Amino acid sequence: MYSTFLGLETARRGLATARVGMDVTGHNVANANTTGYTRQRANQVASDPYTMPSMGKPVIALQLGTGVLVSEIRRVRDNFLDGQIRTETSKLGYWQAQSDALSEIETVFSEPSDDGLSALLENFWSSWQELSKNAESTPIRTALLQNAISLANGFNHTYSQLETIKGDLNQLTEIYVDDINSKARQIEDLNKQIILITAAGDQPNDLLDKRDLLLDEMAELTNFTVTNLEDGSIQVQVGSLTLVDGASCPDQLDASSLDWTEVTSGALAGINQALNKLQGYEDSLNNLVGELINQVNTLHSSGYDVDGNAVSGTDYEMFFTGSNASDIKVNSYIEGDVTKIAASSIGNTDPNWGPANGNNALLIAQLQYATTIDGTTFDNYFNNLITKLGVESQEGERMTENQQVLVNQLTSRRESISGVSLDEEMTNLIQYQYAYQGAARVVTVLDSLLDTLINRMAV
Amino acid sequence: MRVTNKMIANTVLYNLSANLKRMQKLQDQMSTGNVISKPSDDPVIATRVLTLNSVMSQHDQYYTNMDDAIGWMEAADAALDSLCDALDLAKEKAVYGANDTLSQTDRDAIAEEIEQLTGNIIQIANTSFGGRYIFSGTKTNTTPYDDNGNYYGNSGVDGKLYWEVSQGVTIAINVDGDEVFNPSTVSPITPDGSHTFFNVLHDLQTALRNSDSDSLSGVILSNLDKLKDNVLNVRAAVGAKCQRLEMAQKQSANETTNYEELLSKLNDVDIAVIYTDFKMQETVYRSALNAGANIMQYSLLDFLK
Repeated sequence: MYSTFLGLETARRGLATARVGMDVTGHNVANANTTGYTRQRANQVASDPYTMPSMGKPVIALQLGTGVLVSEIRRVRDNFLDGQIRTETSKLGYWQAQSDALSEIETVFSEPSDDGLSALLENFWSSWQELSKNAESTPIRTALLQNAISLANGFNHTYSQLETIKGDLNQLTEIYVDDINSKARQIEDLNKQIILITAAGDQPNDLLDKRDLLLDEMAELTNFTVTNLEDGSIQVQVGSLTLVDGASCPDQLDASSLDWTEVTSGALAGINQALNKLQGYEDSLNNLVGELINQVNTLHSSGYDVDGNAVSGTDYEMFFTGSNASDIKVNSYIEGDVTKIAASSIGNTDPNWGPANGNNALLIAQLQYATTIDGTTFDNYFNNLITKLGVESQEGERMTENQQVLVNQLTSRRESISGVSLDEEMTNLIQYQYAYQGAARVVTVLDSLLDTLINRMAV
Repeated sequence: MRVTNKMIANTVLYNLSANLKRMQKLQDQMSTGNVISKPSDDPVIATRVLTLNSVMSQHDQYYTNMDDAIGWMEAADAALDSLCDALDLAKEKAVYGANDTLSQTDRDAIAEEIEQLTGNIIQIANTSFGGRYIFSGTKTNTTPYDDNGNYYGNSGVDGKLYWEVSQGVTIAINVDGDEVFNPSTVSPITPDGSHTFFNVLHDLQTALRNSDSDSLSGVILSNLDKLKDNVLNVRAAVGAKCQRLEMAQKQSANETTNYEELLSKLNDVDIAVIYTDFKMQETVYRSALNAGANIMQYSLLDFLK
């Protein structure tokens, strides 16, 4: 025979369990908009039944239920999806970083436009054509000088802007590396707490959420592998570096010695890729400017100034000084005296020399369509550079968009599993409410039974 | 599939921003009138636009060069025209002066006229165009002839002004003093160092003053004819070059139109298409806003008591 008050205990368990259910629901509702939050569910199980022998079943005992228990409160989450999301997020970060940098570089070149480098180049060639027609004219010479200065400044400016972007990207790399290291320490910290709680047999749901969120954020910056350890903590590795190992941080990323064969995805790798491409554009630009300086100077040095004096061997021999986009300048002596521009192909020692001889200027103007660099013209070489930039930037944009769609889909799937649905929570709340009311009713009924039994039976 | 409130919010946000992005792109095209504003919008178009721009700039320069060359040659042609008139006048006077009925005083008067005419011709020989002497070879800032007809310009290959009128094609746009005023076919009676033209005129004057009718109707007249032939030849050459350039210019203008058309086809937005696209996009955007606003408003909470 079981206790008179067993029914009360069963009803009390019902009340308590319904309360837990309502509390979990409340927690879910409160965190409906918390980033990284995973909805939780109170798992209810029937408590161990009371076994009692009875007259009807002398051998097999009768099993009387004793109510309900909350066995655990756990997160509703698909860990496989986490891995997928992080891999794809890393790729998104890679393309996003690259695309951002490349579109910034596109802004620097600002092509096609009426005031980009290609327009400056065209003006430069046209000025030489004009000079070839009016070699003795000082205003035309001055116009050429001004256009040449604009061109040189254009190259200098473009180059220094590219250098600025390079500096920014390098700085960004450092910031990202610091960020990753700091996240690794936060994960280490969470690991320590998780180990303690897990050891006590509890589910550290909210801590796990925080840790997963950190991993998600880290995935934007770099690729990594996560290994689950037995004590509930995790190990995080980037290539051969172990950033987090349970309750310790053995290694750290170092911005100055990143191994790009190991960091292959995420914003870090994307920036590195953008830096490589940027270097390529800078090299092309330098190559172009170097060859331009070389070709113009070679022709210029063999010419004669407006008075028919050879410029070769004088301060005016070179039209440009410098050797690349960063330091190209119009020879300062020529800047001071435009009559020294060598437009003529013959000197005053020739009886047929005349100041209107612009044949050397014409030779320089004809460089415009000469195959001078990499088997093509200066204009085309520059156009090719812009095309390459355009294609690469477009690829970056496209990949970013595609990757974004993929990540959105996966995130949506995760949200579908782990996200809080208010409708669902409300439904649950009402269910728990009714369960609570039901259990309370049982208490009332038992109370009235016991009242009859204890207070009203005549003794 | 289980759908949560956050999923709906995310989807609404993502779609709205995607719609806005497309609208921004269209708006950009509408306000600039260009299909692309940066190379990555369409690298192929960008390359062609860049190439066309540089080809067109080169083309424009050649067009200007041809314009300038035609201007120069027309100035030369006008000068040569006046020269022909002057020669005709000289010849007329020579024929008249050879007339036996004239007195010495009459001939002296004619000689006086010839001297004035010589002055005129020197003025013609010193014609300038845009501040540059057109008959002094490359010494365009040196007055080619002094009062005695001495030449200070240069001639030959190095006396030519070579201008580029299309890619790789250069032409000499000037005629120098030697070509016009010093033809080798003419041998004056008293060569004195100044150019043939002026020697012949000088001969004419001397013959008039000396009443040398034989020379007047003989060698001088034939020399004047030869001089005129030469001027006509030079004029014909200048005219032919001018005509050639004018034709080339016409062709070049056609090409420029073609390039402009091509460029416009590549990079100019079709206003009708773009407005239609924009309107459609606007409709999509409005319906996305509407759907989003409606679906986000309600939950079970609205119906629970």
